[in-house]
Amino acid sequence: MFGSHKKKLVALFLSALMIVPAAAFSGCGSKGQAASSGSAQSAPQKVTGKIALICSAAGPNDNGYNQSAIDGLKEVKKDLGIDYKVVQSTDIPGSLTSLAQAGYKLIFSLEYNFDALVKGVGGQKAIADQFPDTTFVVFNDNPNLKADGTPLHKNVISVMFNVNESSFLAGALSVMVNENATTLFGTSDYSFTAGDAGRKIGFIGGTKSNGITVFGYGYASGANYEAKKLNKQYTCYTYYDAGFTDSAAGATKANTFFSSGANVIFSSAGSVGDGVDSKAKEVKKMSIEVDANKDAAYPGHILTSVIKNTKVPVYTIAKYYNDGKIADYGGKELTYDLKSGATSITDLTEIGSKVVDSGKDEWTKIKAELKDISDKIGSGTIKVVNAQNGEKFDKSTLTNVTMPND
Amino acid sequence: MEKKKLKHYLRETLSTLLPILAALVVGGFVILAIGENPITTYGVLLQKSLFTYSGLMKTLHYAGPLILTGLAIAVAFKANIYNMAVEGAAVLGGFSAAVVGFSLHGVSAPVHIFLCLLTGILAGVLYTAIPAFLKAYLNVDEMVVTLMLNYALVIVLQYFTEGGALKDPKAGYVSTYSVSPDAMFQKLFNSDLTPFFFISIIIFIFFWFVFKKSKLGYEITAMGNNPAFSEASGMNVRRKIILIMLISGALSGLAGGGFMLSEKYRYTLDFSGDPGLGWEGMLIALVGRKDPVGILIASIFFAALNTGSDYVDMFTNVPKNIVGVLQGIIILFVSFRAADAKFGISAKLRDKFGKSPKDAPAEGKAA
Repeated sequence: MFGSHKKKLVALFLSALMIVPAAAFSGCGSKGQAASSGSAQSAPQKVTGKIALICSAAGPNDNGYNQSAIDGLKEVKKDLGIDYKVVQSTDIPGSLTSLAQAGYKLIFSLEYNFDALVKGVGGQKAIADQFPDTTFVVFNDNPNLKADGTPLHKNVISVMFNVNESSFLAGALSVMVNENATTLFGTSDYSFTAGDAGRKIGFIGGTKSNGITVFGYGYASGANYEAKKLNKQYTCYTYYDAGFTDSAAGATKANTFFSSGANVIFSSAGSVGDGVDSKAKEVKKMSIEVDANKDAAYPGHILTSVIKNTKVPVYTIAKYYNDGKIADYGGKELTYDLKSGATSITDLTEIGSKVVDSGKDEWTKIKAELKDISDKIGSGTIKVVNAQNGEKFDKSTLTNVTMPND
Repeated sequence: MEKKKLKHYLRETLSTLLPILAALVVGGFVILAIGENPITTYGVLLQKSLFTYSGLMKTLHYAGPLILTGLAIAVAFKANIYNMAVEGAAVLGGFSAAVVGFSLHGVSAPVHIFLCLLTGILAGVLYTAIPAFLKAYLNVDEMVVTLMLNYALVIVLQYFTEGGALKDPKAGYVSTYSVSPDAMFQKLFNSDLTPFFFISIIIFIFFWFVFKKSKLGYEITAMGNNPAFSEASGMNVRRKIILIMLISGALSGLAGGGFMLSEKYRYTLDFSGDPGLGWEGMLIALVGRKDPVGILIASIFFAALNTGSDYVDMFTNVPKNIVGVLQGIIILFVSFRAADAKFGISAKLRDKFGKSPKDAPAEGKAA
């Protein structure tokens, strides 16, 4: 094809062959990614007492959902000395099977797709049945139920987060900050839309699933709670199809909300949130992050983060496993709420540092109100709808918030 | 004469393999750059996907729908019809098969599966009929219509999946109901393989004959080479365009339906995967030079990459995205080959920079 170019190609190929074995010796060992266990290159040997984790589509470096879980595993390794393996996969059933076959006894799966695990597909036995000695932990859904509500498998654990409660706090906070933005932060660094035109908030979700709407509905309910107290009317824009990866699309969508007058946008959509945050900074407004504490990523422009800390359940369950108590929890649905510490909003130190001196009193009041709401949720005085458990959300109960595009 | 033919086949094979080999070499440098060993990585990739029983079965299982979408692209591209609707037709085929799969009750398993696949095929045909008739009767550019139609379709299906009668209220994620167990292809031989693979192979053999031995195959090639001449020599080109598009749609619909009943079982927004059955089919058709046997080999190769990618992630420190990198590089090299065939780039380069006379006879016919 190329004449002399072809020769160059051949030479290149040969030099590649020369380089490779050299690299094989130098590259081994030291350079293993933090996320993976060091000596993973020795392929299919049987392992005992190792833990595996399958990432969701957002991937291991999402600064949130997946990364927190991996942080949990790192701590497990440090405290309990158990090795772990992190896997990215598009074939969840296939990976569950391969990992169980390879001898992993505790497997976390952060991605959906449970049919093969609990029911079995194509005439095969359920994976949970094929590997009765392996415990599978799934998140955000409880597929492990018979029609009568008893568990299907004793070796499947479902982890649920009551993020509706923490989202409620974020909603209430958004309204309070919006009403007092000038007092709190002055006017030099922010340009909130003032008056009724600015009594707007937004929610951007990755997909319209119960695992995502649970945030949005909690958020709107919290905003409603506070708006009602202050006797103001709010609008909450919603968008549920942002996906989890395209941050540019997040910025575009956020821009339409911001330019329509919204002052705070809460996004629960993986990396899409990056785009929302950067847009918030650009237009001098605010965003709310999700999963992990990302307040410091855009200081002063991320109001707070609604924490859904996968680290807590990962660590706790690994500890049960290490203590030989995992069987006590098999088949159960473990719920992590505000009280457990796995869900909350951040302590607001980052945004608090931006509060001007004349606004300190108001800020103290706002924090006290949040504490009050948090206590009321804890004691059950405030009940927040939980879309994740299949609870229906009735928009008409929101007296002071309208959701035009929900 | 025989020797010439042999040489021709050799060159064809080499030309098919070259983009893949080149991509592996470039990908090797990428792996080196992240401080890992390319040989171990490729070793795991190929060993796990082709040289273990369960891996090989899984690879063949994945290859089934890819063979069909590869053929669907090839049959159209060969006739110079740029049908990009293969992706959409496969997705719609899968969706329709799923709807029949979970809503129909009280029929025996084989009948149920047959009806699901038939619905998938019909959906693919109807979907592709839109651009086919636009192209044949109004001379609307099929590439634009088919490409854009895919995006419209995805939104429509998303609408149906997110709410209403088809959404599974018990699923915590966006998904239709799962197809009933009797509409699922049963796994065979204690592996991932299902009868759908054999259906794909039968269709493949059928299309090998169509391409190589039938009048239609000849007409397709003729249309691809010179549509004006085909028309002048008495072919009804308009009818042939429609026929070819609909065949392409049927193959795509079957691919999607089979993928649904043998792998996915419910329609979710990521049904077709990344990059998608249709797009992967296009890559396969181009790598396989629109030739049936080339497509078969390329399908198995790309299926092996898919199977292997999960194992790479599991057993090495290389992220599975390396497979995406490989696919990207293959596209680059294949595009170059296609552009070269059309514009004779390598010949021009050779003329410009000169070449040693020794190379002349061997290289003479390459461009």
